[in-house]
Formats: sequence, structure tokens, C-alpha cells
Amino acid sequence: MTAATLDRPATSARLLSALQVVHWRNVPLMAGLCIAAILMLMPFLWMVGASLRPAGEAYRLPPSIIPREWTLAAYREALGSGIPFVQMYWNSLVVAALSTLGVLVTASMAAFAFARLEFRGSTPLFLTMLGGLMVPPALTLIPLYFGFARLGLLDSLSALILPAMASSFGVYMIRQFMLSQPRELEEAALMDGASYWTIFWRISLPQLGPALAALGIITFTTSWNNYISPFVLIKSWDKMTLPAGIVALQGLMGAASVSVVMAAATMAILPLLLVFLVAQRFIIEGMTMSGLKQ
Amino acid sequence: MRSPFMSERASAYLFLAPGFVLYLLMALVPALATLAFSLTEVDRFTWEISFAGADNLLFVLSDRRFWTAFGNTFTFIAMAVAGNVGLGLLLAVLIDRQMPRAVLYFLRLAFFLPVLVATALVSLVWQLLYSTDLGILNYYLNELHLPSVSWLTNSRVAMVSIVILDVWKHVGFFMIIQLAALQGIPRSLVEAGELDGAGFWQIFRYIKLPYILPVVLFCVTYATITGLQVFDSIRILTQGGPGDATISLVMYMYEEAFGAQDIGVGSAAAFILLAAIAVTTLVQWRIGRRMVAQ
Amino acid sequence: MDRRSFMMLAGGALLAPKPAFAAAAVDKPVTLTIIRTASDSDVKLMNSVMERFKKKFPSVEVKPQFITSNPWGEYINQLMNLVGSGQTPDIITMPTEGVSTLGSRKLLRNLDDFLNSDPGAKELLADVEANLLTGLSYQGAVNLFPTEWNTVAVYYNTKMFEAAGLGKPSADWDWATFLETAKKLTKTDASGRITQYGYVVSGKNFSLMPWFLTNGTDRLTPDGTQSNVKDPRFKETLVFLRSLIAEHKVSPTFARNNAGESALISENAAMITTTHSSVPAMISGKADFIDVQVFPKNRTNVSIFGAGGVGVSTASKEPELAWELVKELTGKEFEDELAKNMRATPARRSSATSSPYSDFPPNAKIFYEAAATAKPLIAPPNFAQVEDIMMRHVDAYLTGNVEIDPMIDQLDEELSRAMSRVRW
Repeated sequence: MTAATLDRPATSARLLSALQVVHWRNVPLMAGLCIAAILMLMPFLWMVGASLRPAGEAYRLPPSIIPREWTLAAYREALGSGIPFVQMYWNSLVVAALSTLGVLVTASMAAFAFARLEFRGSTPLFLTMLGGLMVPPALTLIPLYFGFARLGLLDSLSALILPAMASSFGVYMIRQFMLSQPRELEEAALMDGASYWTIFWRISLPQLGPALAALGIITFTTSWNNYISPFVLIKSWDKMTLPAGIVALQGLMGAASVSVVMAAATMAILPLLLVFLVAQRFIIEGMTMSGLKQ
Repeated sequence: MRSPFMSERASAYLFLAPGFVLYLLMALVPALATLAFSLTEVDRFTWEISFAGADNLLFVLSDRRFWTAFGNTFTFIAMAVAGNVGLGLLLAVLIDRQMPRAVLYFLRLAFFLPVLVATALVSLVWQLLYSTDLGILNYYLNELHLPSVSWLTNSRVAMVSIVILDVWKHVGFFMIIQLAALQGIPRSLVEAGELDGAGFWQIFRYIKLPYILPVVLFCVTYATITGLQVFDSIRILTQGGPGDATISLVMYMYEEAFGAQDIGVGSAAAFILLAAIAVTTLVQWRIGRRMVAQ
Repeated sequence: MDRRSFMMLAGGALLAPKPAFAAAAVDKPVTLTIIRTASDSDVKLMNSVMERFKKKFPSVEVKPQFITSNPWGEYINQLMNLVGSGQTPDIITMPTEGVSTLGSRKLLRNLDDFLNSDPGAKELLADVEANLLTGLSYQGAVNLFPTEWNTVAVYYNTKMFEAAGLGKPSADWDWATFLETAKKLTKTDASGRITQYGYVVSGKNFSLMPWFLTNGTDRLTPDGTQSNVKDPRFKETLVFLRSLIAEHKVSPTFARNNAGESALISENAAMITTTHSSVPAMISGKADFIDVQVFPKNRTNVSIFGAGGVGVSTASKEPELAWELVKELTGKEFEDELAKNMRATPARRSSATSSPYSDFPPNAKIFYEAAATAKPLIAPPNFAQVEDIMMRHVDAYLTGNVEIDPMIDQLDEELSRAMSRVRW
């Protein structure tokens, strides 16, 4: 099954369809969907609203999305307190970026070997890697914890980056994609005497654009949002990443600091929101493609 | 493909090396180590390891809490998969029609944003929404003269509340994938059905659904595997409570290994989880193949 | 003595080896690691300590490791993880909850070695109420130098009391009076919905303990080795708490880990029972209408306390330097800053009975008054597990999901099994 993209008909046809679009039958349906959509967004709206309230207000009933008094005090406290919020932000960024880079490089290389090269043990090795699809991260946490502790890597960013780079899903996805790509260019290059590395780097990799983008986005968001790994493997503030750090923040500050925790959460979500607004189509197509390529 | 510089096989191994070694060290070996640990007893303070045979496994299998966790996890999956994939399909069908670009973008934003955000962070927000006496949901229910619901404090309702959060968070993902699948159905097929005089639901049931069945099945499998690993939301919203009403398998594993400091028992639980994933995946794959063949 | 003998004596004295714990001379770069909790006030306090220490010992680097786990059970677990992986810190900050965990594994150096050769430190210790040290001792030995402690008290909204026509609660009040007061302070609106709760049953383990203690019972036997939940007084206490929620409806639903601070600050509740750690939030929430009173008594009026201290680990390679840092962490400046911070009661009497600590809440004198007679929290080496088992079952019962008798049976079963696996 090939990747489905939204059709892009000619401009005149688009204009016409945009005008014709509002069938009387569809209007109640669209209205209903829009109401559902607003309800879906309510938790976020409430979160932002709570973050703009003064400390004692956040829990006050009756609740209102728009706070009676606006204040950025919660944000100031989240950024200026002894909690290294900015450090956590940076850690999340570093871990996500390096994990993504690592996955993209190693997965595409491995996929190249599986999809384009013939060698003994190709099938058994591939099936072994496929087994990894069924091994969830939570499962390997206990031995990884032990192993990292012995190596002194516990409570370090490497403990988060290394496991994330081992992506069977990535290898599988890229391989599937490569198999559906034509081989002619590569074979021609081979005949011209190019080395495998040159072929990979100059020809195969550029063709992998959409798949790499999709894998990159998935890996980045998964890493950014990961809670259980940092929760288990990281214990000190200066190595903590955002989700686990903010939850720990709530635990330490007690139930009296709703607005500060909401402010921290808002700041953590903001970059993803911005990226989504800008690259919405791109992200959705990427994730869709990974799903349809099964 | 043959290259003059290096044998194909050697090249293949070099390409494969980084990815495979990472996979070995970070996924395969830990998975096997889990099995090994489950056969040991480890003193957490001195880290002496002693062989314990099947003791841990027997302990887990005879632990009432384990079976509660097992039952809870499968109850969760039954509800969450049905909700996520079913509701996702319904939404996809409803959205699969002409509509103004702006409306489509808005709908996609609203439904997909929760997917992108960290489960841990949205759990913090929902914790406030769900609070029995001071929460937003109950407040509005009361305004509508409906009784308060003990979202997180009633053992029967608590699991449903977790499922609601899970569906809210993930339905967008499944909606988008199934929407793309629906839009990839060749027009000719649908038009043929229309010419034969088939109505909307008949077309859906006999033409569209069979066509996208592989994608739907993929969604079911994917949702199941991720459902088996549910941890973040439960840990933050209920910590497995009230009592043990919402404890999941991964939570049980974490609590035994890092809470009760019993690595052997935690590993045994992890191992059983792995077996559960393997069996479930295989069963679903088998059933899926037969359904598609029909 | 003739001159020759004197010279020999003097020479001998110079050549004799220095006593083991003399003031440390520092001429090489050294790193001291210390483990602490990661709350905002801890970080700030630690930073000041490091600044002062740097002035005295410029070549020593102090590396604090802030542990983000909460509550105490998880903090202790994390320390154990560090110990297990061979990274025991030089200095360990530990509350009462973890004293036996440390003691049973002999992780701390004996404080007496340091105290005997350091008269200044002994003077510091003299300013601390002796009873508080019982919260830091294991099998008779005290190996943690006290820095702070906490007791549980009733924090109440003075405005609401006035509005209900009640005077300040008496220091002599008991459970029955408490219930009556809570009822008078619970308000409903026209539609029957409760707009103001008289009291919030605390979701925190430590803050629940006084209810059991004032009823003459506890979840463990006094020696801390066996489950005690089958005690009829234990059941009685829980039934009373449940009645506050379900029958008299003076308290909202039980919420684990929530002591009701935000409800008190946002004026949705009139009374809560919590520790001094909730006070900073009250101050930043400008809740100046809050005052405090001792816990209501029932069969006894014993109050509970948990202390916190710092000690030098047996694994430390620089015990003398570590001791210097300990002194900095427990000295006058630290205690005064802690008092200003308001997140706990300073261990030293002088810091706890003067401004700014005694300024808020107005009745703050009850805190140090309790020091002489309070009993320490009973905490066996597997404290984290005990706390978890206890709270899980109490949660299930107080939220109305389990009946009292089956709950106590299950609690007893799990607790006994856990206690039987403890290595003392």
C-alpha cells in the first residue's frame, strides 16, 4: 500500500470545491465536529488559564478559563526558583536531538544493508531485529538500570540517549520504504564503480527523505515526551528531563502550587505546539505514512 | 550488487554494525537479562546475587496483586482499543468529506494536539479536572444538576476515567491514519458501488471497510501493544488506586523492582509481560490474516 | 623539669601523630558529595552553605546531588540505589523515616567520634531539645546531627472561625469538640452543594499518624517490627476518619498525597492537619488569616514528630572535611536561614523561638513546646514499603471502596509479609 497523501487538484477545481463545500447536509455535522474539537482542546485552555492565576486562585471554584486576575507570577516562579527548569529544557532538547540523530543514522544504514545488499544471515538477523518491536522500553528498564549503575552511567543523559537509539521500528520502517523505491539509480552507480558508502550517502539517503522525516518526528516526540525512563534512571535535578521533572516538581511543591506546575507544563508543551502549527501537514503525513506502511 | 572495493558481505556487516550492536546492547541483551534476573534474588544494598530458581515466578503467579494488575491491564486494553480505534474510525468517516480548508485544519489541530503532548503532562492537568470535590468536571456536572462522579476515587469508575484520558489523548492518531486510508480508496470502487444503487452505509460496510481492513487491524495491534504498557497516566492520576483498582502490569513491575526493592520479582513480572505481548501480537496477527483473507 | 627533658618533650609532642579528627588541613583539591532533597528551599539553603564553606575551604569542591523523589520512601530508595552502585555520598541528609534503613546497613559514622574532639559542636547540640535526638537514633546510637524537625498541627482559617461565632480552638480540645467545630464550619449553598468544608482529611501518611497516636495506637508495634493493625483502636480511628467524610460530610473525598493546603489557602476549607512544610505556600499565597493549634486529643495527647539531620557516611574518604561541612550544615547561620525559609522547624531552640520563625503563624510557640514530649515516627528499614502498603489500603477504605474489616485483614496480611522479609 502506498502512502496516501491528500489530493491536490488544480486551482480552479479547488476554488470551486471550496465554494461548493458547504452542503446543507454537512453543516450540522461540521458544527458538531467543531464543538467536539473545542471540547478536546478544553484541558489545554484550562491549563493555560490556571498558569496565569495567582497562587491561591488556581483551585478556586467556580472555575473559569479566563482568570479574574492575570499574572505571570507562576511563570516567574517556575523559571526563577531553585528548580533548574531551563536546565531540564536543555536536557530534553539534547536527549531528543541526539536520539533522533542516532536513530536516523543507524537505522538508515542498517536498512540499507537489509534492503539493498545480499549477505549471509540477512534474514535471521532481520527477524531478530523484528523481535525488538515487541520489546517495550519499560521491560528493559530493570536490566538497563543495573547495567548503567555498574558502568556509572546512571543519572546521566547517555542513559536516556543510548536505549532510544536502538530502534527496531526505525529499521523496519526505513527498510519497507527502501524496498518500495526503484533500484535503478543505485545499480547504475554500482556499475560505474562507486563504493557502497558513496551509493548510500549520495543516492539512497536523499531518496529516503519522507521516511527519514517521519521517523525523525516520531523519535523526537517520543523522546521529548518520555516519562518512565527518566523517572527510573535519572534522579538528580541537573540531569532531569521535562515530563519527569515537572511531575517531580508537583510532588515536591505540594498541592498548593497548581499554577506553577501548570506554567511549567505550558512551557514544556509550547515548542511542540508551535512546531505543529507550522508543520502540521508535514507531521501528519509523516505519522500517517508510518502507519499505512504496514 | 558487487563492488570492487570491498566484498558485499563485509560492507553489509559494516552498515549493519552500529544499529545492530545498539539493538543488541540496549534491547536484546536486556530482554534476556530480564529472564536471567527473574531467576535470581538480589540484595539491593550489597548487590549480591544468588540463584533462586523459579521462586520469583511462583511468587508472582501466586500474588493476588499481580492477577489484579493483569486483569486491570486487559480490561484497560479492551476498552481503550475499542475506544481509540472505533471512535477514530467513526471520526475518520465523518471527516472524510469535502469541507473548507480552515475547518479541516482546525479539526486536525484539535484532535491531533493531544497526541503530540507528553502523557505525563496531560495527566497532571486531568488530575485537576477529575478531582471529586474540587474538580472542574464535577463542577459543571453539578451546574447541570447532575450528581458528582467519583472519577478517581471510586474503584469501578477509576479505570474508566483512565480510559477516557487515553482515548482523549490518542484518538486523533487513529483518526488520522484511518482517514488517510479512507482517502486512499480508489474512486472507481466507490463510484461502482454508487452506480449499483448502494447507500452510504452499504458502501462503507462492503467496499470501504474491507479495503482498509489491514490498516484497521494495524491500529488494533498497535493500540494493544501500547496499551499493555500503560504506566504514565495511571501512576500520576491514581498511583494504581483506589486500593489496586487501576494498577497496571508495568506499574506492578516497577513497584516490585524499585519500590519493594525486589529485582527478582520485578523481572519475573517483566518477563510475563513480555510473554503477554508476544502471545497477544501473535493471536491478533493470526486472526487478522484470516479476516483479510476473507 | 630540666631544659633537656623539656626539649625532648616538646620535640616529642611535635613529632607525635595528630589526633584523628583534628581540624583538617587542606592543601589538595577534594570533592565532597552530599545528597539532599530537591525542593526549592533545599536548593537555596544548599547554595548558601556552599558559599560559606568555600570561604573557609577554597580548595574543596562540594557537589550536591538533589534527589527529586518524593515522598520520603522514594528518597530513601534512591539513596539505596546510589549505595548499591558504589556511589555512596560523603554526607547523607536523612529524616527519621530513613534512620533505621541507614543504621541496619551501618552506613553512617558514629557522631560521638566527631563530637568528642570538637567542643564547639557539642555546644551546638546543647541548644537542641534532647528528645528530638530520639528521632534520629538507631539502637541507641545517634549518627545524624539534627537540622530540623516537623510536627503535625491543625492549621485553621481564623476568619471562618469568627464568622461562625467560634473563639480560637483550645489547646485542650478533643475529637468530639473537633467534630463539632468542623460541623459548624461546613457550609452548603442553596442547592445543597458544599461550598466550605470544615476539615480536610489529610492524604499524607505523616499527617494521618497523629489520629492514630492520639487514640493510643499505631500501624506497627512500638518496637517497630510487627503489624499492629488488628488493634481495635486502629480500626476505631479509621472508622472515625471515614465518618468525617461520609457521615458528617465535613471533609471532601480522601485524596492521596494531598493534605488540603490549596483548599485552605483558597478558602474552600476551614481546617487542615499538616506539617510546617506547607507554610511557605501559605505565605506566598498571602493567606495571613491562618493560625495554628495543637492536635485534638482522644485517649492521649501525644504528638508525633519526624526529625531531619545530616551525617557522615562510613564510605567517605574525607571524614574530617565532611564533618566540617556537616558543621556548616547545622550551624547557626544555617538554622537561621532555615527559620526564615519556614519550611520546617529548626532543631535549635534559639532559632525556633525567635523572629522570623515565630512570626507566622501567630501561635507558633506550640511547635517547639511539643519538642520535649513528642514521639518519633516509627520507621523500620523498609519504611517505603510500609508507607505504600498502609496508604494504599487506607486510600481504598477512606474512599469508600472497601469495607473496614476486609480492608484491615488485607492490610494486616500484606504488612506482616513485608515485615517478615525485613533484614534488621
